[in-house]
Amino acid sequence: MKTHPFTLLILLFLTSLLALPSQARQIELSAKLGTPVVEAGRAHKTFLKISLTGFELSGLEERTAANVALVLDESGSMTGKKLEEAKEAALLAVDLLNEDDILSIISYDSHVKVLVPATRVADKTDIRRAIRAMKAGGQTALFAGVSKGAREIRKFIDKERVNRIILLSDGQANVGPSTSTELGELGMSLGKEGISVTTIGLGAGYNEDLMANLAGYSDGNHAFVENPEDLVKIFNYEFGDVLSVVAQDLLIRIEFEDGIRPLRILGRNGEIIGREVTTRMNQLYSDQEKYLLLEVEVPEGMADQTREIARVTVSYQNMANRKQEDVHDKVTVSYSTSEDEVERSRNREVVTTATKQVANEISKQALKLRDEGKREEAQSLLNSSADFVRSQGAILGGEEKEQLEVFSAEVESEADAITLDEDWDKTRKSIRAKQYRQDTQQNY
Amino acid sequence: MKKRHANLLLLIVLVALPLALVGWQAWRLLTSEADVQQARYDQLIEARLQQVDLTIQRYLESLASDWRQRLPDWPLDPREVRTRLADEIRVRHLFLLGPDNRRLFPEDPLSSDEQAFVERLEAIWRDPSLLQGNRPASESDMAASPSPRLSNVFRKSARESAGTAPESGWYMWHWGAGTRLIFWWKSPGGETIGLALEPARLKSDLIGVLPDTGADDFSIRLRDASGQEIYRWGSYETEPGEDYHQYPLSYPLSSWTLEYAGSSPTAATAGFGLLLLLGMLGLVLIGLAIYLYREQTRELREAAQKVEFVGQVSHELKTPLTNIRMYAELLDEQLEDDPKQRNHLGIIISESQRLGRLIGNVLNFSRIPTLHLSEVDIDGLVRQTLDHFLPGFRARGLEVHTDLQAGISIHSDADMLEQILNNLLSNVEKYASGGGAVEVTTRVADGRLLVSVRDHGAGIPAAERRKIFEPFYRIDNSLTEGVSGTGIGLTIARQQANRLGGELVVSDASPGARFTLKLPLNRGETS
Repeated sequence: MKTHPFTLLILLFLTSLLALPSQARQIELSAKLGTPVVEAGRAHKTFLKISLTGFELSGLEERTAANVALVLDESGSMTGKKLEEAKEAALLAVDLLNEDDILSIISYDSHVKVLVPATRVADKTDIRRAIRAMKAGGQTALFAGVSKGAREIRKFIDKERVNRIILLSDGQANVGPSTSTELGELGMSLGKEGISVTTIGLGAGYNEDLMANLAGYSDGNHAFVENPEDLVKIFNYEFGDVLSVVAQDLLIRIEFEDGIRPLRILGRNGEIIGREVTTRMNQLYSDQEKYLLLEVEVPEGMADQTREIARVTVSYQNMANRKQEDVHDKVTVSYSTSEDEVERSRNREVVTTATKQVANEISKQALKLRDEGKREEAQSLLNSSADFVRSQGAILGGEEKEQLEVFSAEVESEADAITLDEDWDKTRKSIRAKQYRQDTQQNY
Repeated sequence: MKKRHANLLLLIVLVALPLALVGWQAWRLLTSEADVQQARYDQLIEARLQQVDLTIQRYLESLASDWRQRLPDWPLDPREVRTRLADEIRVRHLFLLGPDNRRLFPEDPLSSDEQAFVERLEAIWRDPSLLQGNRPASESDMAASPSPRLSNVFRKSARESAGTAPESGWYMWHWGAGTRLIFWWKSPGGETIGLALEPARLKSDLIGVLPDTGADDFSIRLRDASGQEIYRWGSYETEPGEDYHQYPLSYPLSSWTLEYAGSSPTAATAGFGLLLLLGMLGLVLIGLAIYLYREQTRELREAAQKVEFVGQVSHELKTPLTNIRMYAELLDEQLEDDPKQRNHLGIIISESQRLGRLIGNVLNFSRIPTLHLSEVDIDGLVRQTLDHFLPGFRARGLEVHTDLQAGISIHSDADMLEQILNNLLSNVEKYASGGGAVEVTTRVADGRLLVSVRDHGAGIPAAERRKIFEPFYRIDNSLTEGVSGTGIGLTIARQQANRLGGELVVSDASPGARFTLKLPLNRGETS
């Protein structure tokens, strides 16, 4: 039968419609078990990795507008090079922003001064002048500085902006609430509000637990800057993140089926209530992966059985199209009697990630032991952790083995450093920052 | 000189007294000014702190009103209410009580954080009416009494139809060393929702609404219930030893305090101004005093100049006069006994003598003469002096009686003695000739020489007896009228008597007056 030309036309039209590429970009969600196939007949503990990757931004023009508060320490200890470099870093920030962005600059010593109230970055001269006029002297009212920063942010706070406080400090908070618990509580509260606090610790005198807590609970970044000359570079990285946010206000909900027990969340804060696990991430960056790692217990099952064990939903604010969106995924597990099959199906990537995260948790324990004075214990803990990592690498083989070898070597050098007295304050800051980066998959 | 000192003293008093008076008034003004300033300053502090308190109250009220608006829409189910908690950025814990006041949320199993919360608020589970306990009476008390027939299903509509404002309020719960602020709300159905604020967040939000530091003359600190500093603003730095003043906040944060320190009111500048005024006044007064003093002394100086001038002139006159007298006396010796000629010459001689005495008086008044001591036969001197006056006396009908009993010589200045006598006798001649007689006596008594001249004239009234010795003073009556005189005769006589170590006194003789010169015998000069 001869095809009618009109029909052909319609067909063509329909296919062309189908061929149109979908303009909507979404974040990528992938929920994977470390061992998707487990031995039948008994319960297993395994790791579940919920991985989120931000889509690419096609150009700077489409980046989300920022609402940033720079909170800068100008206490007495910042005199000299530190303050000079801090000013340079702040000036860099001004250069990186444009009049779609809102910037506020707060400086603090014993008192707080709002140098530049929240304003569009249109007239840069005035802002630069205010930065250059900073003078060092006094104590450190860190809590108040962050509070005033938050207040400036709130003036223009918007779901469709990246709301960020960037805190720079070189010393111990000693005016106002100064414990790492209180700062952590503040961080949590700000995080809930959609404001992330990135904390940059300068030199060897700041309180790394406090700074890490504040950043961690508010889902910001944390960096240890030993040399003031590196400040500009760090600020560059930070703004690289800020200006590349593609999704905000992410809520990750995992509903486990009956019988599956979520045991713990590694590296992030979250809630396990019964069979539901919830965690929040404040933002996701372009082309970057962040993940949630859980240890779960899978009940025993029968051979050749496959069952769904969890449903994952991630709802978020898409910054490209300004819509609230969801992505979903499902996790299944299979049972088998074949050891071979179990081994072959092992997700090398998840296992590697899990190994590193577990090692990170041990590193935190070791640090606690060291703080209590138990240096030998800390060291032996780290050494056994290094062994564990290496052995995991050996099991996996291939390029993962190399990765884990490197990681293991790092753990070993940490084990060596942990018993030393000399430069311990620097070492501890370095370790803490490393743990933080591992927990949050920080980009720099 | 004494007069000079007296004048100076007067002038100093003239300056010092008004200055002291003004100063005292200024001091009183200053202290009362300081009190006023202090009161104003205290008021200023009060106002500033009230402003802070108001800001905090307003913030809390904004939270409360937001919740009052939103809480009615909350699900009153323990499972659902948890989701709301996740969205409340300022709330750390939440509790839900049923209408029977049983705790519905948090419910078992409890996380460790929830466990601590439940334990701390034990007293509230036992007696939820505590929540309403410590609030001020300003809250509206309009709770709808729940009908027993209402069930959960109809609760929402019941809330809408009740139309009365549900109860709500704040509660400050003491949590270990610190405090937790709880906002509670009672639904029309009788459930209670309690929101325990995240303390760090509350503090942070308050810091956000409180002022930041500019150029300030004060410093304020906010402290929580355990005394920990939350925030400070104001760049004023306290002096060592200076304390902050404490002020509690209003309910519900009444266990929090504000501390205030600031620069004292500007009493310093007020005092300075006043001091400046005083200084200027003082300068003006001193200037005036100096001017007056100079004016006065100018008169004195001018007078002194005049006296000096007169003295000079008199001295000049002395020489020609001496010549006249000398040649007149020579002529007297050479002349024949022509009564008329003799008479005319006698007048020339006596007048020139008189002139000489006058000049001598003036000279004596204007200068302090040096003493020329010698042995002086008193009686002889008296007789000699009297001789000169005899013609004049006789012409006025004055009879002279003498009783010269001294009989000694004293070591004294003859000229000066003569001048004293001259003055006394001249006075008698001028003013007491009406008495018809004059008695001159000399005597030695009590180791002293007494020379007295007594007249029978009108006498010296008691009131005048001192004044007559004052310079330029003449008794104002018919006797002195028409008679020329300088008024310095007795002044000089007394001065000279004093100069010789003695005194000149006047006494009533009735009729007439007696002038007595008393001289010591041993010494002839005063120190």
